Amino acid sequence: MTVTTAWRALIADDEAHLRDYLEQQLRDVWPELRVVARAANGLEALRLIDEQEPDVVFLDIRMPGMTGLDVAARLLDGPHPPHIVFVTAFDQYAVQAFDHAAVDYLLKPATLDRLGKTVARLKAAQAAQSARTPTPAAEGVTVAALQALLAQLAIAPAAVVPVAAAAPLEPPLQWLRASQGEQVRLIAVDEVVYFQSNDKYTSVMLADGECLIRTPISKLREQLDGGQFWQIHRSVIVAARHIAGTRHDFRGRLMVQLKDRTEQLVVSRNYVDLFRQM
Amino acid sequence: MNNSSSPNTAVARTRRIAHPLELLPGFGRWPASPGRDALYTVIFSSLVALVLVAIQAMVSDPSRPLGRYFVVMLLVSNLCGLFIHGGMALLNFLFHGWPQRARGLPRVLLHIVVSVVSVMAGVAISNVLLSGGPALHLLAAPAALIQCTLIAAVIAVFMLVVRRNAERRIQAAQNAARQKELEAATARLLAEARLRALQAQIEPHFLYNTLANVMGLIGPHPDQARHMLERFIDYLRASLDTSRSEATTLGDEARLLAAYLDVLTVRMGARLRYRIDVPAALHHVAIAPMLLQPMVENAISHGLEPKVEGGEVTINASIDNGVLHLVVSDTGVGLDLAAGAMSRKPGGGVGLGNLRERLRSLYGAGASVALLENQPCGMLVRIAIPVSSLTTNPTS
Repeated sequence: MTVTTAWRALIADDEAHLRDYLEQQLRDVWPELRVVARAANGLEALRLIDEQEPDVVFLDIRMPGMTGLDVAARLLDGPHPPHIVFVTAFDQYAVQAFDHAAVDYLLKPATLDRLGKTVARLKAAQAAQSARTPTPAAEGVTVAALQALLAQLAIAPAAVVPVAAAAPLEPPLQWLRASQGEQVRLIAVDEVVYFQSNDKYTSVMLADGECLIRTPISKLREQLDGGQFWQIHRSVIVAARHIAGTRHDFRGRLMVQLKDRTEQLVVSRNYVDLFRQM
Repeated sequence: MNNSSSPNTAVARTRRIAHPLELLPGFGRWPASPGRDALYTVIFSSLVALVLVAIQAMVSDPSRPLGRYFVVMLLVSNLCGLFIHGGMALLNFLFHGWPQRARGLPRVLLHIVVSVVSVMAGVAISNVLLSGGPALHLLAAPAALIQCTLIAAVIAVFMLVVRRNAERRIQAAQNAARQKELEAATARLLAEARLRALQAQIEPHFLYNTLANVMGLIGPHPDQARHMLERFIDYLRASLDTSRSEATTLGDEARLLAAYLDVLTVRMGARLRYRIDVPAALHHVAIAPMLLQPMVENAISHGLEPKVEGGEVTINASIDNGVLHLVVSDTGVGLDLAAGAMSRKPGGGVGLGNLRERLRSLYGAGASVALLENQPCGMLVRIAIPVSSLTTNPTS
């Protein structure tokens, strides 16, 4: 059986030497294949696939702009997806996921032997496809297989989407931007010991200093994860993991002691219940 | 949830009030409960009676029988103890725990008043029980009244001192436990750092990608292949050396990073430029291994790799006002994009948190790390370590 037209391929990898190497290897095991396009990132790959309509695409997983998995997902949404072969350097979890999803993949650096198997598989898939009525994505990578893969790897860009309808619309605040002189300091909320409202500003108290942000404390309370940050006073929100303990002062007020700072914070009456023994 | 349980146990511990008997060695061992405290009060009162009898035996005529006197004292003392104990419990109940929380002058007054009233009541009631006389007869005699008050005051002061001591001891035990926790955490971090140093040499993605590049280059560009292998071997050797030692120098660290970045430059081509700016005068400065490299790895994998056009990584060391500053900056995607990119691990601050903890365990509270926005784009991580907390290498 002869193939009427030669196979046309695209290789996408952000490392130029690896693109060249794969092309060179493919020349050895599959002389009639024509590499018609080379892409250095995911967006370029999508554009070139659209232009050139190759029969098979070799997609690196880790690429800037868009990952190989994202590119594949876009392709499978289209009318005539090409055959897809993923290429990746060693990554235990990814490989397990590939095996599980029955998706063809190559490990870098691929041996000629292994590459030969992939070629044979592609040819067999093509033969099966032309024997039946040509339906898109009848074999090779299927939409279901790819979706299973994306779910397994849990690296789809939409992974942050809230699960239940009851979940807050926005995920809890992770980063704060505070100006420090001319520079903008980025503070992970994990670093914060407590917030103290301060007129128009809010003081962000850290283990090794403090800075000011413009967000009012009432807004912060909505944005922060309530399990990690406890409001203990109208003007104070404290990070639970930075609390060392509590004591009562001579007036009988409940005071919060901190692990990384020496000052103590007053718990106002309305919030005392937070510290009752559970 | 883990976070919420630890502060609450600490709260429970500080709120507990110490029983005076806990001052004696051994009695602090049993966990506090109302039953235990009641038993302690009986023991405590009996001991007081014993002490009073002993004093009586020393000062009075030795021919007088002490047996009956002891029984009387035992009764009086236990009645007083019962009233003090019960009085405190009653007040606690009536005032919703205020007496337990009271500190300073209110606490002293409270103890004295409760003691005096209880001792008088105790003496009066035992007087009725023993001699059948009128209860208030004794209180009418000024000498007896003064004696009672004095004994009560002594008991009150004793209770206060004892309580204070016991509470201090509980506090000290708590502090010691926290200290121990901290030490354990430090040991864990050290072990993690060692493991991390070992893993860094064979980070699989880096290793296989590098080898794949070398294989691709051998045919068409043998010179480049050799250069890449040489730099990779330099990197492996340097990181093996540092992972075996507790400290390295800034000079060695700069050489290791140069080798690492050279390997990456072959791979990423024009997408990676780097500059290492460590003045020769600082090359001998001793520094913990694996401090700078994770910062550089982060800059590459979260800053430059996700960016289509790549960018520049800069490593800078300087000493300013007795503080060593180490700065790693990149012109990569920065925070906003990185937060959504696939390479960003969930819970973005974890890496930085580890670095902060490590710095603290290595160099104490004076060391700090800050994350800043780089100009015009990307991020900048700045470590500051006081020179005084660095142990300089024994040079020359």
